[in-house]
Amino acid sequence: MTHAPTETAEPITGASLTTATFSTRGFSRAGYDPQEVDAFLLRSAAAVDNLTTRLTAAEQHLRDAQAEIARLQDRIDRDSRTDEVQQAVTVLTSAQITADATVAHADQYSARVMTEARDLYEDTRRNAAILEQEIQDKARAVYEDALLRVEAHERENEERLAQLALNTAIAQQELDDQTAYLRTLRDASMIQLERFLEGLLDHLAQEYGRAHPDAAQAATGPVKSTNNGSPGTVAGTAARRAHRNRLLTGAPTTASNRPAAPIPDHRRRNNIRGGNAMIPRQAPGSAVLPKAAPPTAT
Amino acid sequence: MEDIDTAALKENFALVAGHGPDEVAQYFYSYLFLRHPQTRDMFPPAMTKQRDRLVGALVRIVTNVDQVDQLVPYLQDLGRDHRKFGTLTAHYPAVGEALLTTLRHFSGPGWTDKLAADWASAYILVAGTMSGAAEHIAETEPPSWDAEIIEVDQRTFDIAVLTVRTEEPVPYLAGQSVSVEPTTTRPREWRWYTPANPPGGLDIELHARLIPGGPVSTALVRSSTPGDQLRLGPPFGRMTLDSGSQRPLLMIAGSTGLAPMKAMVGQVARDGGRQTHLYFGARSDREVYDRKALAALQDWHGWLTVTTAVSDDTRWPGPHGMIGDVAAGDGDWSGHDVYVCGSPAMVEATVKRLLAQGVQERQVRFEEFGRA
Repeated sequence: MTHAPTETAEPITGASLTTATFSTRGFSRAGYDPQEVDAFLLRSAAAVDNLTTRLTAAEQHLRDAQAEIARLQDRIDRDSRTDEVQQAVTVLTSAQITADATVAHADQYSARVMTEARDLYEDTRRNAAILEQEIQDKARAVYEDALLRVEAHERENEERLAQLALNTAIAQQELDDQTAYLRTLRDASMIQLERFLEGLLDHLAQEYGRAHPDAAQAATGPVKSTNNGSPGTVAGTAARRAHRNRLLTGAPTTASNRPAAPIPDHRRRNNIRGGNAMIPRQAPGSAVLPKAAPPTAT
Repeated sequence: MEDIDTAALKENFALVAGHGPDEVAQYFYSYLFLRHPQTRDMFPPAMTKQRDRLVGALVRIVTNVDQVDQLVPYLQDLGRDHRKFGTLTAHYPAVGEALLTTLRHFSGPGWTDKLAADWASAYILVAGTMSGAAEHIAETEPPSWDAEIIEVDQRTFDIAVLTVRTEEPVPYLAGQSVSVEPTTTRPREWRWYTPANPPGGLDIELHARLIPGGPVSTALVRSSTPGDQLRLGPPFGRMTLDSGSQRPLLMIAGSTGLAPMKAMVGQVARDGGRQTHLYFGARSDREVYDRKALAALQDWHGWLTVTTAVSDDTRWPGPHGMIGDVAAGDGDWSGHDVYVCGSPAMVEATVKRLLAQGVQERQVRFEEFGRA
């Protein structure tokens, strides 16, 4: 416990207030020394005033500081929403957009190249298909044309062949006709010659009976009379006729043993005027030979 | 989601999307990459398609926000699929922050504490569903499968058949698809392809057709060589065989839509065979790119009939016309299980034609290989 400070040099503190003691007066010791108390109170009041002033100032200072902090905080908040953060977000966004554009550009380029390549490929494929179709069409046309030509050639050849066969048939026919004609001519000539010879012999027999073998035989044999148409003459004539008939039947008198080919109409202009029909039937005894006219000589 | 005012969310989303879906997505990704630069590596250099995907997913989520039974399976698939990007549970809050900031940015004075709280609650539910599914599947399945190209068989200048080998079998079902990243040539670009052989082995046959400007298809068809690395994502797809059915099968494929059909034919063969008629359609003779394999399949399997038709090639000796019309004109398929795969236009026309002919909708399963 300390004695209440009475000297100004010692500052009043909370502790000095609670522990302050005052001197007593007189014999009773009832009460502090009023002078000491007054002096202490005066000093206390001064100290409180001083403290109050400082406190008020400090409080003001704190309020000022708090306001400043609030102001700053508000500014920071506002900045974070608007200025700096916003700026940073903007910078980042624009950088990202630039990057996106660059990549998009590259991708677009790639897409364009690939699309062009694909289109080109498809066009080429289609053109190839069209070309192939055209070539196929052309090939088919060429093939069909060739086929037509071949068929035409075949037909032509067939016609030629038929013509050739026809010509051969005609030639054969002409040959056959000629052969028949010659045979007929031969036969007819033979008959005519025979008739002529018979006539000649008859004449000779009549005119010169001795010359007749039968007459000669009769002259030397039992039959004497040969001058007046003896039976020997008749018999001799019959024998000659038989001989002539043998001659006539021994050789063919028709044109040919082969069937005659029919003569087409258009060949009739080269008519050989039939086979036997043209052979002039000579009167018996005629010495005139038929003309051996060649088929085309008319 | 009882506490969440979904109508207010839809209204707010419509307001935000009104600024242009691409603008909104650009802001979202810029903010995400600014605040969390480590996430940038999960995305490809060009973000155009990525933004479309984000907007598509957001639209789907917001549209179906009231139909939890449809939304939850979609989100689970999304979460499972996102593992291949390297997405971890730790990434979800960063995305949530970027999403809320984006929404606040485009909402302007319309943004309220209530909206902020509702969006935050909705996002926590969505992210929780996705990451929950991802964590659940992580016990049995890797995020993706590394693969190596063994063979590139360039069948035409824009169709290639690739054989790729994985270190572990990919657990797909015949007819399902996997996403493929050409890690060597176009990293962080993904596209869906369907294995053309039944599952179980390490080798997978992929049929790739070049889409002009498509980074993955261009890389696979034109730039791939044996030894190139790929990554395969987890398998998805509902075009699979109904093992409980004994009905005969009708399969109609346009171009590389043939791949799932081949896989299913292989599966049917393993299961003992089932009367199957496979129709394959191409534009021209040259695009009949797998004729040897089809002829061999038909030789091996007495129960399989293959008909190939060509739509635009006068020299083709077989049937002409669109494959859907050729198949539909061939008979009554109302007693068959029907599978259709091809371009979106081909699938639409074919399914329409079959339904008009008395085939029931529940009989038909289809997939469009043209999807991004």
